[in-house]
Amino acid sequence: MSDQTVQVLITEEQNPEEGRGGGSIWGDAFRTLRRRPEVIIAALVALFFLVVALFPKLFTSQDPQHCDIADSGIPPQGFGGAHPFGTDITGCDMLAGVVYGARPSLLLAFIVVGLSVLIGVTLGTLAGFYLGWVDTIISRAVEVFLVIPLLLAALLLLSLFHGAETSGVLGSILQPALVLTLFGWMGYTRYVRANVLETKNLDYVVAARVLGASDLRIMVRHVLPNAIGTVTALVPTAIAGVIGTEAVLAFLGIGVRPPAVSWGILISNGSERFAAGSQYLLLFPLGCLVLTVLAFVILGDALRDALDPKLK
Amino acid sequence: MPDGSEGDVLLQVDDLVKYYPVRRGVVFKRTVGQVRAVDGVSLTLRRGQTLGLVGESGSGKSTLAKLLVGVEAPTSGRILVEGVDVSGMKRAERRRLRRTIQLIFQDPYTSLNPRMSVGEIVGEAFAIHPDAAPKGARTKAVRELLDLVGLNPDHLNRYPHQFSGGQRQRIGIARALAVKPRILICDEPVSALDVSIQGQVINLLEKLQDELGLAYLFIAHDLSVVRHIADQVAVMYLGRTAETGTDVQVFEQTRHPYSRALMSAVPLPDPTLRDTRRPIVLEGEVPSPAAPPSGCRFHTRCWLAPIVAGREGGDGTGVPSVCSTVQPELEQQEASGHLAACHFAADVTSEAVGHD
Repeated sequence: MSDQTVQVLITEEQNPEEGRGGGSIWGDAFRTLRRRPEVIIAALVALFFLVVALFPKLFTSQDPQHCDIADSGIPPQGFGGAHPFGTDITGCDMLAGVVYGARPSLLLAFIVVGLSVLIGVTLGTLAGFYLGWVDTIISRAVEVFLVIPLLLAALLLLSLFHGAETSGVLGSILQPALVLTLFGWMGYTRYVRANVLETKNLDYVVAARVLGASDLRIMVRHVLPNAIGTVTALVPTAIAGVIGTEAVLAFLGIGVRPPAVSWGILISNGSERFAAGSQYLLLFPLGCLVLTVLAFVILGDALRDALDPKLK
Repeated sequence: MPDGSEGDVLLQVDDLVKYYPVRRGVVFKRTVGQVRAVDGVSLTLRRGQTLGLVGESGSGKSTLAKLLVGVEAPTSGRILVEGVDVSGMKRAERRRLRRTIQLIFQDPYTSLNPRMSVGEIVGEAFAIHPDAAPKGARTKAVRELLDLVGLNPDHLNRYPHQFSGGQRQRIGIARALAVKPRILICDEPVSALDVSIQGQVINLLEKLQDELGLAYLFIAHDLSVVRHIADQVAVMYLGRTAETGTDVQVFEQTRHPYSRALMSAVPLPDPTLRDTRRPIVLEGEVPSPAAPPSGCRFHTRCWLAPIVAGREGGDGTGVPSVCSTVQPELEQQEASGHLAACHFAADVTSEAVGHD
């Protein structure tokens, strides 16, 4: 046996733990995820659509706004033709629409879910931790917002502000984003509150209190990391849900507004022409939505499992 | 046991009371009763000493521990730490006090945050009290603490789930020691552990007491463990102290029928002795602390009461009337420092223990 092999063996013997569980929780989670092929595929799909949303020019040279009525209703020509995904009834290029529609759709989803989680986690933690009147106010607010039907409220609010002047991608999604956030935070609040109630009386929380930790430290360092598990699992499904709801709002004519394109608008337009023989107008944007949603669902499930120390 | 001077008293508890309100109602909560978890307990803990606290489940031991570390606020009574009353203190002052008293938990599986590494768990004390260790020396201090409790300092980056129950308990001890406390409240620190591991943890606690001069309030179910580690023993029943004294006084010159019953339940390793001492079996459950019995709290289950009542020709209830009407105070027994709360304390030892 050469000296080098011996050296390697000795090193392995000295650090038998390095490979499994020496690092942080996130490091461990990453190692677990790396070994699952469906996670890698889902990550690649999600990454692909993120790149599409960030750099649409890489994928199409057409302008989605530039529609030539002379080219109306061209079926998909495959890559190589002028309109790989075909054109819609007004002659707009489908590929450009799908590519440029990714940004408003994904941006809307991330803004809505991000804000909802932020509000929900904050309020849920406060309600569960302090109970008393804080909990009474927050819990009653949750119930009030839960009993208002989302579509009814969205219709009312969005038609109220329909005339407001907007500009840019952010401007065109701002109103639906605010309305969807307004009716999106309650679920997280409830989950987090229930988990905080369960976690806050555990011995390690008492131990931190005995050490003299402040309420903020106890919440941030001890209660939240152990109470937030269900929320990390909800986030990907929520992203999917927001894109879906955005499609519904667009279908009703109150979502992301034309001339901006979004997957929701494309789906809504495409479904009108579905029976008329132009199925591709619906299938391309719908396929993108389904792929994105599936990718986030798989990622979310895998992440939740990998971050749970009890499943190791 | 010689009485130490006043300066030696680290912790003094005077007539401590904790009632939990029982509330009913959905919107308007009204108080319909009180659970008397701790109802007038007095204790004295001296530097470097161990006070064993024993009693059945529901006797208020753990509530007492929570009161002492400041997690719960007492209803009334005083807690004096080194002569300073801390029961009415404000938050900031209590934070400083908390460095004096620390808590060891019963269950090593719930007492460590599963998402923090050992280094973070033990080092958290330094983040909360920045003056406990200078910033650059914190990792070194954590390693020293791990070494002190018999863990490998290189396991700093591991997570609690990678340790056994005994090792986890050592991590809990290291966390408590980080703030250099003078008093450790051990709330049944070994009852969740394997018997062979129990011995190791007890020995570690004794070693730490010798090295650091710690005082322990040792709460336990296991009387043999208490007898092994404690200098002073207090027996609690339904939120009150039944008997207190040195370990020899309480274990061998028992003056309270409840303590006597507890002692007789200790398994004897010698089979010949086992035949001569029949255990006293207490009947029924511990009464509800929301509605404690009148007079002596133990009279509903007392094995001595029928004997005394028979001798004195009571009113036929099987309990002397004084027991069911007058609450006995802790009274001085023959030996100094030995207190028992029983109207017929003198009869406890004279009566045959194996009486049917």
